[in-house]
Amino acid sequence: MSNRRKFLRDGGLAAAGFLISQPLLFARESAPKTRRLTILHTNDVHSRLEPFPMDGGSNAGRGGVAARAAVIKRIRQQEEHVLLLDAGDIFQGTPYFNIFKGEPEIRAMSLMGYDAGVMGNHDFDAGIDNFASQLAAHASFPMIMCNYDFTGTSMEHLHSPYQIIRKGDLRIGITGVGIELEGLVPEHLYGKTRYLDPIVQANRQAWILKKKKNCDMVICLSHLGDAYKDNKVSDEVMAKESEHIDLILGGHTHRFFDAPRVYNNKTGNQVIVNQVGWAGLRLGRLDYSLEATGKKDLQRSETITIGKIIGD
Amino acid sequence: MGAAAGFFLIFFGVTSPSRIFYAQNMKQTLRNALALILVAAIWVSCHPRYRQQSMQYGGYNISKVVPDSMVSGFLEPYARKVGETMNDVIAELGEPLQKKLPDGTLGNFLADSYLAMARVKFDSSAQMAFLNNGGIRLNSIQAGPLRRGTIYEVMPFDNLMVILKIKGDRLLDYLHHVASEGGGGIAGVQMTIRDKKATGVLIGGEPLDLAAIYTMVNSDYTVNGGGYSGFKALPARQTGYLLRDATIDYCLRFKAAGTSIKTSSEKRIKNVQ
Repeated sequence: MSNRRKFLRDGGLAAAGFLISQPLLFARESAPKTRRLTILHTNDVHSRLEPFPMDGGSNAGRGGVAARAAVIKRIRQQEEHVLLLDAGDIFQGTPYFNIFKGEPEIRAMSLMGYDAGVMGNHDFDAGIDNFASQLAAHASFPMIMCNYDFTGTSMEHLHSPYQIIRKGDLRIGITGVGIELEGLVPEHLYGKTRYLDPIVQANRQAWILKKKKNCDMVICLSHLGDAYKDNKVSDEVMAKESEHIDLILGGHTHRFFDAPRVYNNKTGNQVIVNQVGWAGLRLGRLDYSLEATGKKDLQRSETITIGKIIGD
Repeated sequence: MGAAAGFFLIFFGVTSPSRIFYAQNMKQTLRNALALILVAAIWVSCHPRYRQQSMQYGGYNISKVVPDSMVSGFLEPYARKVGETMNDVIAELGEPLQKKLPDGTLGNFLADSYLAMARVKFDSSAQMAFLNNGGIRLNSIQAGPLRRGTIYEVMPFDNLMVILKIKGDRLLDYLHHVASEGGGGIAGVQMTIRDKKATGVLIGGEPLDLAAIYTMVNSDYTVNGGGYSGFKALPARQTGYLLRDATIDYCLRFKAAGTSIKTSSEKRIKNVQ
């Protein structure tokens, strides 16, 4: 190849590339450089619709959907882009569930404007058909599950493996994983549901969300549990073996994290894991700044205790 | 942006470094180098970096909030119905109950209620009752009037009472499982956990006989393989009686007798390192 032809080729490609990139560069300049996203999350609320009773116990007066709704409303007034997510075990734990089988729990979440949820093992407690019918009748938010094969069950058309939520010009990809049901949930309650490897499934959804759907951020809602002493799959294991997940919001183990945990994923990038105990005693808050380059900063994390404490 | 990045990756590939650095024509080298710098600059600016660079932790923020009136209003009719059935006092609790490992007064109270009601209703020879620690869903119950709803909260699951006949050697295997879990609610049995194994087992105050047949009260959840798979083949009597109802009935018997509930605080399971 002559030098001249080579110059034309290389230079031409460079010029073409420069021209193609220009509108993108200009578009980026006109858009705000950094966007702020506030992520609020709960897990293992376990039918705790009312605050704990004022019986002198350590949680007396804490929790409850009315107080949580007020906190969420106030944050939505202060922040432009707010996501509200739940990591499973909505059901079971107070007489509300024994009497109403989950109707007020799902209705309350719809009223509070939850953006998405994932199923916990106790959400099967009144049977998969009950969960499906409560969802169909009362949920205004999607149920996201990528590792339960619901083929032939009542949940088949009531879940999706991922969801993209738009906040302004941000595209937030959400996927969700549930725990192995065999040995944990009586078989007649989950029926034909088949458990699939959560790491394989979540990595696949995250890849789709980042690479195909151009999401700015990928969140995995998880009911696997934060970490175990044996090699059982957990949020910790998933974080280390993931590639495109930025944040895992966990549950199941009822762990009150002092601060979000940070792990390195397969490619050495950081994954954040958080969990906020149980019973709606606390609301997790993570404030991210997302730059147009794709860089994400978790600028602030806060754990908000809901409701009164004795002596207030 | 993705398409542009892809384009530049292809471009980057055809502008191989070896051609640039070993070119004899200096002008060509310069042109190529400029092209490379331009490409690199655009590539770096487009390439997403997902690394979180900083993080600040907030402390706990105790919120004093006025409950949302719309949500309170929505909950009100449900709360009224719950109150109608759940607020009645079913007994007087003489002392607070605590969930603890290896054993605690709350787990022991529940196990006592299962054993007592199994003897009254189904099998007077029942010797022992168990419940797994994870199945105890409140950490404590305060002393004083005990409401029906509290029993629903401590045992929300619709688990049913099962009565099993079990040989001593298989019972010991189950007790090792209980020990490996760190303990749990227990009635009729005393034991010591050493190296995650059950030792010094006493059944009704007598040393365990590996050849004897014992009568055990447990939940259908555990018997059907919840957390332990050793019961599946054993002869089991399905009572159809909710464990929660066993506890409520047990409480009502104290109320009828006009006495408050006291759970013996004797250690049923001990830990030895």
